[in-house]
Amino acid sequence: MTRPIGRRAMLRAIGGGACLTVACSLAWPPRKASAAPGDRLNAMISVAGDGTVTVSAPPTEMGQGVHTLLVGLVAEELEIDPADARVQAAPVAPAFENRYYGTMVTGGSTSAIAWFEPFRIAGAAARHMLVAAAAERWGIDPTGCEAAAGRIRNRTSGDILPYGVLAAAASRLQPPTEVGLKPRSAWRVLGRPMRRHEGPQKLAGSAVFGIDLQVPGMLVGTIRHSPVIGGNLRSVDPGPAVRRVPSAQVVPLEDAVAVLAPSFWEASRALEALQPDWDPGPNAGLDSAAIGASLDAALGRRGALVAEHGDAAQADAEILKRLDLRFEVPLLAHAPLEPLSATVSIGPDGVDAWAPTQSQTAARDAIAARLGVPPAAVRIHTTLAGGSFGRNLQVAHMVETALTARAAGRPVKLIWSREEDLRHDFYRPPAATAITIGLDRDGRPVSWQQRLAVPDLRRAPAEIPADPPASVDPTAVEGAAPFPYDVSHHRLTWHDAGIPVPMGWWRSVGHSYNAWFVEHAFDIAARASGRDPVALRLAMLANRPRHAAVLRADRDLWPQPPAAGRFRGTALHASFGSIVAQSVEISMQGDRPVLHRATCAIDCGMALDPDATRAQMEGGMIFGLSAALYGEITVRNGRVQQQNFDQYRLLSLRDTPEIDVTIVDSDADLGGVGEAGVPPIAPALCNAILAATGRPTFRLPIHRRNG
Amino acid sequence: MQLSVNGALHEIKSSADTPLLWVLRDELGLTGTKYGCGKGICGACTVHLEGSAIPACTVAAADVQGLAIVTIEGLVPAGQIHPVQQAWLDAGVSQCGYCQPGMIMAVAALLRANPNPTDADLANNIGVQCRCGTYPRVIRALRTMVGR
Ligand code: FES
Ligand code: FES
Repeated sequence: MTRPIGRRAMLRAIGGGACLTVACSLAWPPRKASAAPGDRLNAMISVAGDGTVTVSAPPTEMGQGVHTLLVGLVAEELEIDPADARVQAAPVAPAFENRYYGTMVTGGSTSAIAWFEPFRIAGAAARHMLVAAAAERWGIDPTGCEAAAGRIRNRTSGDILPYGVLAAAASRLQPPTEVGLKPRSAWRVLGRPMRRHEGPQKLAGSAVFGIDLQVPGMLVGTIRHSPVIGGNLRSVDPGPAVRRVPSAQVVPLEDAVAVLAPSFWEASRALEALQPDWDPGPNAGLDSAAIGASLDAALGRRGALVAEHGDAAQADAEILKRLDLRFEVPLLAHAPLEPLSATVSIGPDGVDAWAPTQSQTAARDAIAARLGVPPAAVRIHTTLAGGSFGRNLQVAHMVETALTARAAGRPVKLIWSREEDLRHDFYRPPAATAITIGLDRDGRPVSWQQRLAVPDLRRAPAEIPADPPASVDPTAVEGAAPFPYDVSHHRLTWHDAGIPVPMGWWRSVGHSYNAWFVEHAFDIAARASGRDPVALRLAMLANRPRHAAVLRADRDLWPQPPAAGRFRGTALHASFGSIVAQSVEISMQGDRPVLHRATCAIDCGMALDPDATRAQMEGGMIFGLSAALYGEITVRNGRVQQQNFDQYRLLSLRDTPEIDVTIVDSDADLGGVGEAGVPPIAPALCNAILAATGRPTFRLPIHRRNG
Repeated sequence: MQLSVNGALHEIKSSADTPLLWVLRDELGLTGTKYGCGKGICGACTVHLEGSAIPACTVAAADVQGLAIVTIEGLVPAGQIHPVQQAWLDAGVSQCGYCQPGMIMAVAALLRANPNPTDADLANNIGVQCRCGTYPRVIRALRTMVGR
């Protein structure tokens, strides 16, 4: 397989040093101009004189294993041992923009898909140039050279030259205009389980997360925002803070107050002493009931048509019975285990900002705009992220840190308390749906009409939604259409809901609720007709062979019927280019489900790192189970009520079922795996509860605080 | 005030009521011990006090004077790897890794007290929260370690 580089991809080798550096960018539709620092910084791979290979990673490593994967892509083509490569976080530069978004961002489960080709091409080009340099040195044809394990061997003489020795000479050569990429059958790294690149440091406690950053002369700070969502700071008397901690510095911000001190503890104690005067703003009366009412009101409006296929009249003629179902999900917090943090140092030669950010370009531009400096003067340094799940796509806290550092005249590390993290998230939006399912005389759904109320994440939360909306917010409806099952008529409308709460992208975004709505409703319909839900799905997936294969693969993980007192539920959902089926077996203890075993089958085209794919499925299911069982952010008097993990519970080791994952290989395009494991587990669990008790779940979480 | 951390005595300047977690992180620069909740719930800050696992965020520095404190940095001498860490690498346990220092300290303490724990022992003793959901691999790695 030879890849012409020519018009599709541009390779640059940056010569003149002892180091071979290669950059590759695939051509894609023109993007916004992005300030480019020196070419050397844009290098995706560099091979140093001592043979060290450094990979510059555009995506943020937040637990999904993307750094390991990038090393694997390079190692495969460059012919090195992955253990010999180093990874550094890439700076903001056009070469590192995610081509699906035209900006540097880690999201949408796109990292593997976006970088699968560029990093292999860069690796192959670097190898090509090292081979050419060796051939030149030996005075032979390049075909007489063989690259393996970081060295070039002369096939005739058996002589060996390590990459490091060749790097300087290679850097003076022209990059190739065409490179051959290995066929899948020749892979020795990809497609096999890889060892976590940064695994040892994480276990030794030496890995540097955002919260761990140390900059000479820095102060450590913490922050409190207006307790009422959307409120502002009127004034604050620093006296009480300084009396308690004499070294404390109080920095008032627009909607928050930050306190700086030599340590986080002193800053926290000083902050607690403050009695800021807050302007609560328009949301002082907001509560969860009002949010529910807004969803109801949205469902009652006209909405926008998202998808319709089939013939309503034909379906009507077939319908014997109709089911009207209404479901609702709450606001959710991301709650990564590492609380939000950023470190900013402002110096004469520019601004340095360190954070586990998922949005490097947006962070740079937002900081530059607020400080009034050119974007090129802001350098973003991405640290490891202690989880994130979408939380660090937001950059407001980085701007706050920059403003605080400017006010203090010193470098500042700002760490949010867990309480602040839960009370001031950009939450997963709440959503409600009304589904009318028409069943024919065999109890088979023939008509599926769904109204979906979700706030539009593209507009400011305080804006009044339009009816009908001018266009459909694609993330609000993702997963509700296309409808995979064969029906005579399907119709989906979307109804923008006005919820004045900051909201954002939460691992699997719209799929997180749409999978639950559709897949739990499906089982309710199947059971209402006395049909086996999995068999009925298979019967309605005749035109979706990949879906059906995944569902069967999951079913095959359960060779025995459930024992007495045990019940199973299954759900199927396609997201981010992957198809995932999951099942869970439970027993009931009173009205509480006890989870015994869960299974997962995934078709992601091919698993580039099967072990990482499995880990993402396991982790995604546990993430989804925490949300399904306990996840709920409630609001009273404009304030978020959950303050710590005792009120925002996560699944614990004790409650985690055994999990088995199987990977279904297909020749489909690469699918994402970071989010696709989350959506199906909530409906699978509610389907199991339905099987056990006959009771559907109409609201999540299953263990609700407020009845 | 003096604290014994990883086998060495340190003169501590932080105020006596400072939680051990913040003395370790902000004064001694031992950032392997993590902050997750500050309320003794998540276990990200787990260290060994006289060999037992405790959350460092809920004990005041003054209350642990004269007691042996071990953090993830001192679990084994530099350059060595603890059997739990090795088992973790082999099973590919960590994802983001943020909870893992606490998780490893909790597991190491459990194994010292009970070298052959059952799954139930794990469930009852490992309360460290992992938002990434590494629990199935924690259990798998431990089963391998104790030869099950
Ligand atoms: S930070 Fe100490 S238990 Fe959570
Ligand atoms: S590995 Fe991320 S919180 Fe445990």
